[in-house]
Amino acid sequence: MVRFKYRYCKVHMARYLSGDLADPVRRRVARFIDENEDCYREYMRHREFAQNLERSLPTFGRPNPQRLDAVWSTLQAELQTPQPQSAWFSDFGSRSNLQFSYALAVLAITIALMLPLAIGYRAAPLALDFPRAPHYAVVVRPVARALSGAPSFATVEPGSRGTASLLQSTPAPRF
Amino acid sequence: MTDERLAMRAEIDAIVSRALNGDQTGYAELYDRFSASLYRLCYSLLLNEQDAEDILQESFLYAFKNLQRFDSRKASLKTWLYTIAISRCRNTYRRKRFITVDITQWLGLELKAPPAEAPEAAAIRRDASESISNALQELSPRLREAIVLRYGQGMTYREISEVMGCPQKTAESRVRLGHERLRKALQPVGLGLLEELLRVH
Repeated sequence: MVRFKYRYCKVHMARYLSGDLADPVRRRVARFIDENEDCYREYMRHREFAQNLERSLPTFGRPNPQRLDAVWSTLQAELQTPQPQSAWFSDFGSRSNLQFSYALAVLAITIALMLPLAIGYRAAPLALDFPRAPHYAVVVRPVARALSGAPSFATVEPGSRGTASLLQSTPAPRF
Repeated sequence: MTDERLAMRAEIDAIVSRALNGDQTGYAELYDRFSASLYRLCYSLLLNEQDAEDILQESFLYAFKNLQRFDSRKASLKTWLYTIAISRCRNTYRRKRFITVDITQWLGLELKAPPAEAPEAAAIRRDASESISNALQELSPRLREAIVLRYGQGMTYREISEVMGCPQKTAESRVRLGHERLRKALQPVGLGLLEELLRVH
């Protein structure tokens, strides 16, 4: 229970000190601070540090007035500088910069698509004459007769296309 | 919103209207009111004078050129300006993510203290500023933003969430986490140094 109280206080302490807690939570934190020593110590530590930060951080990085004046002078000069573009173009550019980019992209794609037609593009023939894979034909012929007279040997030749011109026989085994 | 805040808001709205109607003194008045706090915000986040000045100038330039876009019903001018500045500071962190060496430290140079300051006071101021600067640098950018807006600028959690573009609960937890980390980072130095910084200023 003690740990719970301590953790509860720790979680809500920053907002407790800045007065940002809802009433029921604020009352509970206040009760825990009263009842529990650890909670009280946490409260004191937190309060001291928060007060220090609240007083010291606003003084951290205070600007030099002369530097601020210099920034103001530059700012004034930039605000009074006339736009280099004409009013019509600057208005067009600021309002529809994105639309202009998209329009350019669409125009470029259209030109790219129309270009082949403009330079006399003809459709490629549909039937392309791709080199064919070699055709294998299996020709079975009796080339030798063994003792029994039964077996015969076959040859397989690429590009023969069923013709016997390139057919070669495998020599029959001799027994 | 308190009466005081409402009155201030109405006053700023009137200045904005004047500026929008072409009154140059309106711009100057807006710059006078917000430049110092905006510079402190940028410096606390970037921890570099030159960068802080650049962001200050860019933010005001953007704000003045787009002043007609500012809607006082949605947010206060301060919140709007801070949102512009923070977004530019974030771009600077991203650009400088891999280049974190400060050339003045690298060359062993130190920024000169104001001429009227005594050497001892200058040394104390430098020590205290360096301690805070180092402690802030150890925080992640988001935690640093939350801490600087809460303690450096005295903003409410609602305003912080508007400026940082996150839910209010997230802003609260970032402040809490940043607070704890900063306390741990400054513990070895001691809180006395912060007191010294206050005394010197």
